[in-house]
Amino acid sequence: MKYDIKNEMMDLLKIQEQKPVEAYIGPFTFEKVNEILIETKTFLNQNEPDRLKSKRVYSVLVETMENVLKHAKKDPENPEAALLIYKDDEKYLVYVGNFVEKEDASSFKKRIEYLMDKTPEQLKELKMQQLKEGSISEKGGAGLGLIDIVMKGSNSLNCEVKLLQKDDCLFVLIISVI
Amino acid sequence: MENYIVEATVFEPRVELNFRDNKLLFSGESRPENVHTFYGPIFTKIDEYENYLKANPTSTVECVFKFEYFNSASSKSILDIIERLAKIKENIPTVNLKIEWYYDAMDDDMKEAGLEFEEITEMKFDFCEVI
Repeated sequence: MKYDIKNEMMDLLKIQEQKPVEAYIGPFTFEKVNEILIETKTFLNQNEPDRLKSKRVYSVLVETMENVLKHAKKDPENPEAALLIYKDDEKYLVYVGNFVEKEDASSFKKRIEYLMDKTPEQLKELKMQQLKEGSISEKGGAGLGLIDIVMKGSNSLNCEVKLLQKDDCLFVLIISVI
Repeated sequence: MENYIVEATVFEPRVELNFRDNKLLFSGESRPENVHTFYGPIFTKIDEYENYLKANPTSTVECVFKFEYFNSASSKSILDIIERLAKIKENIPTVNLKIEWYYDAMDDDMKEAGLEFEEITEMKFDFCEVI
């Protein structure tokens, strides 16, 4: 079944129509992700005086979109993913949504809850352990992406999952950078 | 031994493995589409460099890291490079290995990454703040 990812996301997140800093809905390919990253980097360089915050937003974007590239369900009928970035006063809110298998959504959710339960010191310990003992997967991941997102994203990683039909899920990562 | 140079792109760093002058440099942004494809040949070159150094002893090898940004997958590969350099130092004790880690003055995360690599590899880094 074909889904409208934008409507599903707006409905799930109860987002009011407001102008995002960056918005993209469509297939995520390395080339497209690269284009979005260059555009967002230019926006941040021109509009965000806090260079550390600017870099952290950029970093969170890289990791979340690479996560989608590696883990999104390969469904020809629903190849789309969505990225929305809003600026709310001093805070950036990043939403990245894509379709995943129900099982994957559940394991991602558990992993996020596990990481969000950790103190900054425990997260650093996990990161160091993964750096020392982990290896790079065939898909090119080092098992560090979510840890990095939590550390750079002001310890505010969250997710929303909407069960659509059968085993289809809309999975949305929500990160704020303060 | 032939030098190995990779020009930078918006998502790949500049790599200058200047083996003849014993100077290695990594700079720019690192988030390659495939870390295996990008860093694999670099690992091979550094392993070959160890054999080259055994046959052509030198006193100092300088390795400079001037990253603006690297993603989490690259961080594992950068650690692999530093571990290979540490192995060279261990196997050839006459080599004086100098590692310089540059970071933007506002970029606490980049400095922290250098400190983490230093801790894991037990190598001494020279930290250079860029203002």
